[in-house]
Amino acid sequence: MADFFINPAFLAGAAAAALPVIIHLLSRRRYNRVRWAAMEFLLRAYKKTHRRLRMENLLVLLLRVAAVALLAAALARPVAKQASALAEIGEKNRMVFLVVDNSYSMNLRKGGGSPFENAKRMAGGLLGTLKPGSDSVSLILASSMTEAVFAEPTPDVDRVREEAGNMTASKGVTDLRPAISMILEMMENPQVSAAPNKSVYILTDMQRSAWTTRGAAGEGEGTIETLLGRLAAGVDSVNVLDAGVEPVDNCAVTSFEADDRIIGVEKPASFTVTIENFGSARAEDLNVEFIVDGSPRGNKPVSVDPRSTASVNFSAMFAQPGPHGLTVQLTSDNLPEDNARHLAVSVREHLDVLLVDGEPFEEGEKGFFSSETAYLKLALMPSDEGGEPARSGIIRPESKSYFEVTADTNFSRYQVVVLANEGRLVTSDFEVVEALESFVKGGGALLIFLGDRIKPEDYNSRLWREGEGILPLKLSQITTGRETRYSMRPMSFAHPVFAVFGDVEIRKLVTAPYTAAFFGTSEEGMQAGTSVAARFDDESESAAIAEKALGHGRIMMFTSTCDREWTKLPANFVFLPIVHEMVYYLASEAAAGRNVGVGGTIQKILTQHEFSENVSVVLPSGGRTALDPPRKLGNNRFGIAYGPVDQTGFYEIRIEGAKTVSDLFGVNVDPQESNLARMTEEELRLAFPPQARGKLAFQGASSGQARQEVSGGAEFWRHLLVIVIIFLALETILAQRFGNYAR
Amino acid sequence: MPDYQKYLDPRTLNKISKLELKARLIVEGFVSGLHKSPYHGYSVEFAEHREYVPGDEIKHIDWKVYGRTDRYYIKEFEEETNLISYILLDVSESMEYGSGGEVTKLAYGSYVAASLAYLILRQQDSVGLGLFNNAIESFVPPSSHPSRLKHVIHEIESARPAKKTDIGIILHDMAERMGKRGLVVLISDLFDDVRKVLFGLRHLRHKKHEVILFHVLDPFEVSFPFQRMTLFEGLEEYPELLADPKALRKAYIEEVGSFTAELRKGCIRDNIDYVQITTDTLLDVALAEYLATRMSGRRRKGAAG
Repeated sequence: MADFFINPAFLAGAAAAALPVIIHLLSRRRYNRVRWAAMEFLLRAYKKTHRRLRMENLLVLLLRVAAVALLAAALARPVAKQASALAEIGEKNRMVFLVVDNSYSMNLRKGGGSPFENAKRMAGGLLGTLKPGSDSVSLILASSMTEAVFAEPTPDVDRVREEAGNMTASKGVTDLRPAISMILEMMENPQVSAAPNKSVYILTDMQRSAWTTRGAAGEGEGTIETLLGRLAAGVDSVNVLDAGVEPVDNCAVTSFEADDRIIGVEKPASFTVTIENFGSARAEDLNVEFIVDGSPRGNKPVSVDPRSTASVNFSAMFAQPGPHGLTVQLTSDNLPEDNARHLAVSVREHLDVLLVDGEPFEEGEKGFFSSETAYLKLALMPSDEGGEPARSGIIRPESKSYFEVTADTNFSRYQVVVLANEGRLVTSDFEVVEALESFVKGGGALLIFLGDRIKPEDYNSRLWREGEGILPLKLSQITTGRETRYSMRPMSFAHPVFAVFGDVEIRKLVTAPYTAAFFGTSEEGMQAGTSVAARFDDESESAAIAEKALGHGRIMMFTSTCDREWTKLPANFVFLPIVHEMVYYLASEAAAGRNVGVGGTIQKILTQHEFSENVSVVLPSGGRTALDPPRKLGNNRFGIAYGPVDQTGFYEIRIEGAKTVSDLFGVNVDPQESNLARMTEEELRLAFPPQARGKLAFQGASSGQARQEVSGGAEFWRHLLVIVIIFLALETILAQRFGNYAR
Repeated sequence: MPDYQKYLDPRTLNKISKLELKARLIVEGFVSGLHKSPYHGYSVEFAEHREYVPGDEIKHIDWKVYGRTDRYYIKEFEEETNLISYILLDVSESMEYGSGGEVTKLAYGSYVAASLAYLILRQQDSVGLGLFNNAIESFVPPSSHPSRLKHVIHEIESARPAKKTDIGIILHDMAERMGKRGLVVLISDLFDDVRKVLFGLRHLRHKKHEVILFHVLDPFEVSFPFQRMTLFEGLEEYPELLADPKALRKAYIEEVGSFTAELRKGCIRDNIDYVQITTDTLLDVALAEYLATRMSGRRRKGAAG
């Protein structure tokens, strides 16, 4: 049964069904007159045949009428809704929420088309069944880059159809939740919730990840299952239309990372590329191309077993400091979006570390080691020429006494500021504390060592500030072992600071009992972003190393000293790698945010002297967009934010002032989307909460026919046309047989 | 000598107004087409001589023989008597039908009747005429006098088609009315009850008359070629009928076919010459049929005598 007509105007043509009747009647009106002699025979012939003739005439007439009526109906292109459609006959206005998956997997090329093209065609078909003016439709592109083309249902179906024709797939990852939330939000509008005959159509490639809860454990409200349940409760039907193609093998670059957190000028840097094969066949001899700043720097072949990963390493050396863009490109396949990954790195000439010495002249110590920061300075810049060249040359420590540092000190010149047993400056000069806080929030790193110059009440009130300040933990009393020394136990050797100690024997050196005294800390009311990386083995397992993220920067605190006063650690050679890793870790944190996923926001922090109102962003596609002037974030700090980013590749932010500053940001797709595994109909059913399953209508893509006739409705004008032809043929045959045309 | 044969075509003939002239033209056309004059001398054919016996008519004595032999011989002729032919022409309303406004059945029948009368009189035979519909409208008694042609033709020309046919009664009536046995030529469309017609014909045969039946039909009445919706206005008091001729054709042709078949069958049974002619047939067919019957009739009689 037809529920809709695409061209209802043609239905008027059904009036033409009266034509055969009219012709019949007219033909009875227009006749010849003949005076006839052989009437006897004529009357007898008539008597014999008229009953049969009347039946035959009636039959032929009916066939003609039916043929004309059906032809009119066929031209009107009737559409029958699937399944439950019959129940809805007679209902006039529909409200359709059309959700089109626009994740990048929809761009999969197979054969002549892609799932997204299928979806567009299906959307066109569905929209074609809606009556402009009386039906209303909302169109949402669903993915991590969800875009509401028409959030509120609009009766302007033609405009929606036009927009639907211009849809493009995003680089986002499948995520139906924002779209569903959007619909649920709309349904809070009484006008929408009161509308009858609401149905949701989800056009997707049936990628499994869309229907499985992701990163939402514990968020009862936000799981896909609960959202689907709430959605089904509010509408009459949830139709899932499969626009996908049968699974094809897919290989993707799932990660591309620098092996070193800090990359120095003229220092060899290595990079690891991970290739994952999501298909069921071994991918042989893929080619991975390594591109640095736009120029190819080498190729490596790689073969990947099905459902596993393989790694490839590349190395590069950079002559110039500053931002560089690196790209790896895998042999192209059906889904090109995930075959490349981009990595923006900042190459440093130096890593400037400011050591603020709280006890420049220690009584009792002689010469070089009299200063609090002596061991640190030595560790960071070993004079020994046998040191590791890759890193040793980068770090440039600069030691200042506490009285040399003021609020006017340009902290932003340094990547890392170290406070070593500094108890006077920070407790007397509030402005210095403010400057330090601003420095950290702007992406700077702060490393704090404690000692006997520290008054815990001052530190707590000025630096801890009930968890708001730059001190990770509240200090309590000094714990002293006297007879025994305490060992430091990393919470995990996977922590960046301890990751270098891979060997068990060397780990023993790290955990050896060095420390005689340390500040006890209170972990009550520990804020999010604060964690403990290592603990001492005292009774209360006090924190040894604590860290805290603040703004764009990071703070790390060692609860003992950085000289030999409270611990023997600085005198041991493991101190060197620990301090180095701390500095690298903290400094690399400052560069976090340089590489983001599609949909993320790129941010750049400026200092006062970098400031200019002339800010623009150069897009990966080559276009350039002017941005708003940087916002003031605090003392001496300004921020530029641009997002959400929707292209993959490198975005360059340019600040053109007295001196032009530019920075590079890498944007990549989420490799999760690379897994093209599809849901079965049964799995789809199970993805819905049990009470909502009744409203689910699934339309598979198993037959090409089904895909064309989708639309929440199958057109059947072809069938009608066939019936018309059969009727006409039957009419001709019958008329011949009945002798109407016999000569 | 004018080309008389063209006048055998009824359509040509239709253009000539005087029936007598028509009759003459038909017969001349017919005769000129024959290889040998079929009627030459058969009414005055010499058979044999025999000796005079008292009682014989003196006028039949052959005086030339007497002059040579001095004996009286009587000259004997075979069938010297006149053949009496009765032409019965149907002038009922139904005979008025002529498809396409051409020759009506009555006109055609008139040509046949007039030309036959002319032919018969030319052979010195007697001819009589009866015009009928449901009764005998007019009757001209048979005579061999040449002036009889004028009578006959006058009657035919003055006939006005009317009324319904009732051939059965007419045939019974005629059978009783015709005293001397002879040849009955019936010209009609025979739109009547077949059994009554056949019954009347049998009556004629019973009276030892030879019968030729010219069944005159219009070609349209045979083939029923109408295409468009037609209102058939019945002649002879039949009602009107609006019908699609295409749909009726098959049944109609069947009806006509069974009608003529029944007629033909009855005629064969009663030894009646049945000739179905349509009004587009050349007229010599009718004349030739007459002559053939006339001769076969003689043979039959000769065989009997």
